[in-house]
Amino acid sequence: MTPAEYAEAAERGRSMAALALRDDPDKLAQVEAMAGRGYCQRRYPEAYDNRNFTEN
Amino acid sequence: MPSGPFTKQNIRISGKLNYYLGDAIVGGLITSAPSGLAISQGQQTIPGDRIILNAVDALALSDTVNVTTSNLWDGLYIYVRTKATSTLTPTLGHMAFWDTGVAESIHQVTPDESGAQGVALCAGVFVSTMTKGYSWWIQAAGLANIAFTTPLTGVPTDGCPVYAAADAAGRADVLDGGGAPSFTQIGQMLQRYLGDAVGLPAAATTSTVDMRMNRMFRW
Repeated sequence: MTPAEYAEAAERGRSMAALALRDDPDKLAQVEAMAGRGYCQRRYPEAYDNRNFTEN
Repeated sequence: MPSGPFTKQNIRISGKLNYYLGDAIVGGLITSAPSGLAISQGQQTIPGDRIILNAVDALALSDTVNVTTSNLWDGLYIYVRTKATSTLTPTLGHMAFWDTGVAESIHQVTPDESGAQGVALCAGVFVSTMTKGYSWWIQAAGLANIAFTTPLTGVPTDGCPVYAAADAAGRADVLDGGGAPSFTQIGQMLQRYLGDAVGLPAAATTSTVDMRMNRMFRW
């Protein structure tokens, strides 16, 4: 893999995880318990977009 | 978000990586109207696509309710098609081998240790038990759950090298403590080396192995 392919694969993995977390509040809570809410908010902003929209 | 020539649409995930029978159609069936139509979801994901997960990504994509014994870990994953006519069923923790009976561009794997190559062309390990012929993700490198054969040839230790067992079941073996190998066996050890045990492997169980990124022949 080239560095560009490696970077793209890593971004696709992160994006895929973010989509999974957006649709699964229980899983998001589980991941926050592992890595911390601050880390999750920075790494998976898409997972929180929906929540903010709903709350507002 | 990604940019540049490698940009693709966001991946559509049909289920958790380690608890799904696979996509009946490459990229996954359409789930909104017209439901069940046998066409792909716009081909966002095609065989050969790769993702890299860190430990947190892997937990996010793991089903820890239905699969309590085998979480995903960080590593490199490849979307592949499985052979519809294989003898064995693609099974979580067992190895996947490249199927050289079809074009390379199809990225088809089989759970069978068959053909002239035997276990030589190991593509990775199945992270979910699947339906034959369906497409889904396998793990090609990183910390993986791998099934071990029985009986083990050598004495397992935490950190020992792990090899493909060539036991016709797609499982792994350890060789430490065995006798002096012949040149042929040394060649097989180089060919079948998967990575190093993380934890103590045991016969007929699944254990974690740090799989190296040195076996790839299809990049």
